[in-house]
Amino acid sequence: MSLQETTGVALKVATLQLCGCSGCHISLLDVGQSLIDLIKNKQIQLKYSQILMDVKNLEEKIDILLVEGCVLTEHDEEILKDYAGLAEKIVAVGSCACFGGPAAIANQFGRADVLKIMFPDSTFSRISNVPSHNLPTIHEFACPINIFVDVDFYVPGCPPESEILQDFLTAIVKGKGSFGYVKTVCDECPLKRTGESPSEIKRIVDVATLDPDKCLVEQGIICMGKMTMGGCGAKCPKAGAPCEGCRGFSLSLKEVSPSDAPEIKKALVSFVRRKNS
Amino acid sequence: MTKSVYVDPATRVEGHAKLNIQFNDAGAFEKVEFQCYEPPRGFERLFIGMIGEEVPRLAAKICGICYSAHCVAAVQAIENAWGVEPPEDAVKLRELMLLANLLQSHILHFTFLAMPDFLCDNPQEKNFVGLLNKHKELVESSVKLRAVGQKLTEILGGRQIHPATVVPGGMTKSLNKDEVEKITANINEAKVLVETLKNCAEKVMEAKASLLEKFGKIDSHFLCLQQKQHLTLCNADLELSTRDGRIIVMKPEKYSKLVRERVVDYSFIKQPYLDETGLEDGLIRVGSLARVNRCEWNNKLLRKFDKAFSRPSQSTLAYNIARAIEIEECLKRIEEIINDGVGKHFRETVKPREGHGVGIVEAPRGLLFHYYSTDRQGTVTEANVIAPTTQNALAIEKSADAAAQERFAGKTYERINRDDLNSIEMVVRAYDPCLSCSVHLVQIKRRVRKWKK
Repeated sequence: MSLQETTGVALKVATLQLCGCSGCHISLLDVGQSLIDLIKNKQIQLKYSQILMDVKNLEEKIDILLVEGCVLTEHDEEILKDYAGLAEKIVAVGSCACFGGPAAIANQFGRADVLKIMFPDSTFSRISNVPSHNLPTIHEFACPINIFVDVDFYVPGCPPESEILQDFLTAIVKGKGSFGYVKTVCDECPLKRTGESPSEIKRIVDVATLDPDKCLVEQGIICMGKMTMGGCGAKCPKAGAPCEGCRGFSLSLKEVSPSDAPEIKKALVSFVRRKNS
Repeated sequence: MTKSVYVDPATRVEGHAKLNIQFNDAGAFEKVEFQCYEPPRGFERLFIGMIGEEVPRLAAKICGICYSAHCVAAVQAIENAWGVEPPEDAVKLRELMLLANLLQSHILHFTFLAMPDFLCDNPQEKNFVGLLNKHKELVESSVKLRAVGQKLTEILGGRQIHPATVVPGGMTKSLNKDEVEKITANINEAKVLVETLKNCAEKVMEAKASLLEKFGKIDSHFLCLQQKQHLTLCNADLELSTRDGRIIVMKPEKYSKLVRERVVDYSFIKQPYLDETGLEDGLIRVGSLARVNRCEWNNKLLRKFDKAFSRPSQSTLAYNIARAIEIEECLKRIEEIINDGVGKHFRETVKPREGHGVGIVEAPRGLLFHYYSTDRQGTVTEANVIAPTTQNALAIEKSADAAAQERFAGKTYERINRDDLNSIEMVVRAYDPCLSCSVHLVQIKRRVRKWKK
């Protein structure tokens, strides 16, 4: 039974932005006419969305909370917990909400180091140089949202393609909810593979003449397609750019055939060496 | 004791900010503080240690609305550092990317974020759903127009958001015949659709003439890239038009000598101002108004704009109309480049080397700078990003202050209502602030930082 059928009225949806780039909201808008139709046909009712409407505080119960971004400040944490308490289902939209995203890459350096670059001088007469008057404190680590609340669905991607969000919305309106991808990006990639290993690992600036129809890994370019969750339609490799693994590990990674595994390892090892040499 | 009224969060803007409107003991208005509480994500730190060709893709992720601008500015800076001249077709493809990005961003702001203030009366209806009930045609053509921009980005960049194809030395793909046909068809469709937006802008300009002209008006300098016969978003000199009407043209690299910054304790955004004139008189503004003020385009709406605001205009709310003008010019320029043809020379092998370089483009919200220095292998050792909203930060606060001065004149703390507060927000919205971008460095002194293993 779908949520909509149970309640008999429009699904109440709220979108919450934490620390992110708004790309997921833009991708949601890119759903375009279908989203407008869902709203017009009263299948979805938007209750709160800071970037799109003027509701300052969400005060009623909602069915679905779409969360974009990771948790980096005290304010992010508070508002996430508050709104999650009002929501029936919580959806982590995008790689920041699912895994932490770019802000979480900075975790390895320590927040103080990161902030020191931005606020180097002791402008204020206190220990920290970071502005703080009437502002939320910044956490040491940027965290995905499942550290703080129970997440019902994950929609990864940086940002999730609008087709994926459209499928997700349609599925959730129909009550199907869960949908996952077992395939990897490689499985969806139309580039031709012959099975040969690259003779050397190249940087993308080294090669002006890549064969646009041939697998990037086989041409010596590091591409994360083999271990990344599919669903995006392998858009980046199709355009000649290597997959950067924005959708996270594939659910089927365990099923990667043993013959593939050393290749990945070899590729990664040379990549790391190259970077550190 | 000072009393504060908060507008928290500021809505219909990108990112997290609040307005702290302060009143004195007697309950009279004192000042507005624009508090951005979007935490810095530390991109400048992330870039350090990364190989140069990976930078453009990560730089795109700084902002989910002006991704292409960050991407192109970053690649320009890396190429500049490595002493690489990109092939001419790559330059064209990148300009197309910037235009496609501007198209979608401006339409998003014009229809979904700004127009509800002018076209909807009921506070509950001031959003695109409310707009849908009353101005269905505007919303539906905007949705289609945005899709034109996004499809173009997808064709050029591989994806609609956060493009992947930009690399030092060119692009990983060019346009094939089918794609050119598709773009041409889309642009032809868009040229019809854009009429709805233009009509809407014209009507708003007539109906709300004095509001647009006066409300939140401040006096500032303007900075933009020198506009040619068409909308110019990259590969041009920097142009400063001062308050007293002087025009100063300079090389983009000079920017860092031009401005100083101040850090305020109540916001994560730094506030830059013109060094020469000091903080009080050194207010600068960037963005669509700065560009439209200095352009010579042949555009009907522009002539009406001229009549209503007489360029160079200092009216803050005129930013909204300037965006509508740019949407049309943007379509014209895309058509021009496509008709001109994009050839096969879009990629070259490049050799990373030690150096430092600047990339400068016009993002939808104004001037965007990227600066990188790299070591012998092309690994980034130092990075700096100056986003448009950062440069507008001080102006946003001053405009909100000016608007509040007018709105709260003779009104005490107890009597302000939601409409009053929204009108202050409306002035902030005119700048289309993008706060995720804005929390970055404005570096004045070059520090020597070496990346250590």
